Amino acid sequence: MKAAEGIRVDEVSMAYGSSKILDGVSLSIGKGSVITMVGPNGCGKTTLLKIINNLLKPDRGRVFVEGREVNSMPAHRLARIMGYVPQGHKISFPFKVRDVVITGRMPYIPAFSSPKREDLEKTEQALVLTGISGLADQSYTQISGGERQLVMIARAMAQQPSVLLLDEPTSYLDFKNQILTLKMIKEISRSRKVTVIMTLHDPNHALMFSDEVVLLRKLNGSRAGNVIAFGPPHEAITPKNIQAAYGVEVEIAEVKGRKLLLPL
Amino acid sequence: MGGLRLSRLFFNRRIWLTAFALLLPLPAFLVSMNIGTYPVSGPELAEIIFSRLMGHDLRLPQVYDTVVFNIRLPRILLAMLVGAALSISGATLQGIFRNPLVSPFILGLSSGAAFGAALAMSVFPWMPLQMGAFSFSLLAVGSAYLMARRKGEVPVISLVLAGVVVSSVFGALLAIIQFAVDARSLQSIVYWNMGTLSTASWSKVDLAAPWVLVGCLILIALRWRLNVLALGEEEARSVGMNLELYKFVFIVTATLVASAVVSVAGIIGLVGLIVPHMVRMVFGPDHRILIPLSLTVGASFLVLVDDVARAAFSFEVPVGIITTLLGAPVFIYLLRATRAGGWE
Repeated sequence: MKAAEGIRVDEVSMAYGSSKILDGVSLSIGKGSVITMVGPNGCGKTTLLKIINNLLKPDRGRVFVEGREVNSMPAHRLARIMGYVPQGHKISFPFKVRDVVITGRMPYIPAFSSPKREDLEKTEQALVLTGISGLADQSYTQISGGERQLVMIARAMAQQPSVLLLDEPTSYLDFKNQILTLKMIKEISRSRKVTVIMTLHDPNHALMFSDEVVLLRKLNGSRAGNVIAFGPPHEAITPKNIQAAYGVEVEIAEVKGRKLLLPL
Repeated sequence: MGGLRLSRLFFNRRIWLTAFALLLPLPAFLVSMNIGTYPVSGPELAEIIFSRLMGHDLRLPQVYDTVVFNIRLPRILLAMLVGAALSISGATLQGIFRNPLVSPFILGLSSGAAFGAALAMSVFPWMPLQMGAFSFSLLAVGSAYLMARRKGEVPVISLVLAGVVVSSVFGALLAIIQFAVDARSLQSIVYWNMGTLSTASWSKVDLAAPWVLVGCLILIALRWRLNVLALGEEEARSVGMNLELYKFVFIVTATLVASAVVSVAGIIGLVGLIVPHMVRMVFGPDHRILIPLSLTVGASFLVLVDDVARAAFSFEVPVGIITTLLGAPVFIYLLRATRAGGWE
């Protein structure tokens, strides 16, 4: 048991109809670390992320954050602890970036009220933190996909969370923006002592940017257990584990002291 | 410093525009009072009202008192109530459905009202017309809501489909009545469906006003929450919003407000669609501004259109026809400009 436990996932199972997605997943995640979840499509990493944020209810099992079960907390209490950045967000109305980010203040604003000065200040801080102050007055529908990702991160940070969940934060970004975004997420985690849990497509990104990696596999039929490995990147991402998760043969190369995954 | 800020405020075009839109009902009211067979100017109106309040003798002919109090005032107030209610209801539902092409009638409200009104007119003469329209419009929206509900959740897309189904069912039921009744009843049913303010009276104002006032206050108080909702359902839940509760409150309030005016004025089309959209085009989508301005612009819009309906021709045209003819080109423009309406 870790000294400062942030999140505990306890025997979580989930099925959509008759197809099992998650089976008996248990994780213990330390405070302030960057955790990435990788695995093939359909391995349940997004489902697990949503269960952690109580957006989905698992069929079995429980999730605790800071010692409290997530589905026993009022929604606004949970939202003060956890921020969530969805994948590839789109909206129909041309809201200004600032008006989008300020919705992150929702858990602090009473029902018949609107954002006040303090909420505006926290919003500006979140814009500065993510480096998009210059976009504040632009329309959300007219900025690039990479910038939208930053807006949604700023929105989550306006919640002042101690846990930040991100669903495939790099999926719609070009090469440069992928690296910039991941660097920023890691920086935020370090400077704000925020626990980050994100799903990623590319195991190489997991190698580069995480403190710990959760490697998941797709459940095919009766094979029990999703989690192939959970630990420091170099221990979790090995040719044997990657073979087990993706069915792809790889080797690990070392370039200037850093490890890199190469498909054979 | 303070002076600089004040002068900046003074020259800020947006602030002037907002103030103009907020205060628009006042000039619209005065202009409308002045239109008709007996034009009543501002000072004359003040005198007529003053003499009523104080019990003075009126220096103008007595007919002016009758025109103002029995004819023009109820009609203008009713037009403003109807315009405000349909517009604020439309703006709210557009936010919830995250689509600018949504109208207050999306969940079958108008079809239910039309059926209820026809029922009261021809089958159950003991039922007050307004009661029939009001209760059946609520029944229609309520059943659409319940049809869309699964496991405590009401997905927006299911709501839209349920609204379509409910509309067609009540349309078919209305057709049965229209098929069965005599020609005179048929005529009044058709006339009611066009939407008109020509039968305005104080009793109609009294019937609709409380619902509209309370509903508008609730929507104005909760309006920032619509910004949160308009970003998407998962996005709203992840910042801690009790999504289904707010969706329920917004749908119920928007429906009550619109049903109340439809039951006294019939189905006045496209106001609830185009007014919020016009406001959004000028002032942006932020509901903190959109909701109150939809109310004031909607009230002004319908009272001015009604001026045209009652004074532009030698005979009176049902106002619903004019709003629809005006609204249709705007609707087509929106459809094309927003790429099939912005459905995800």
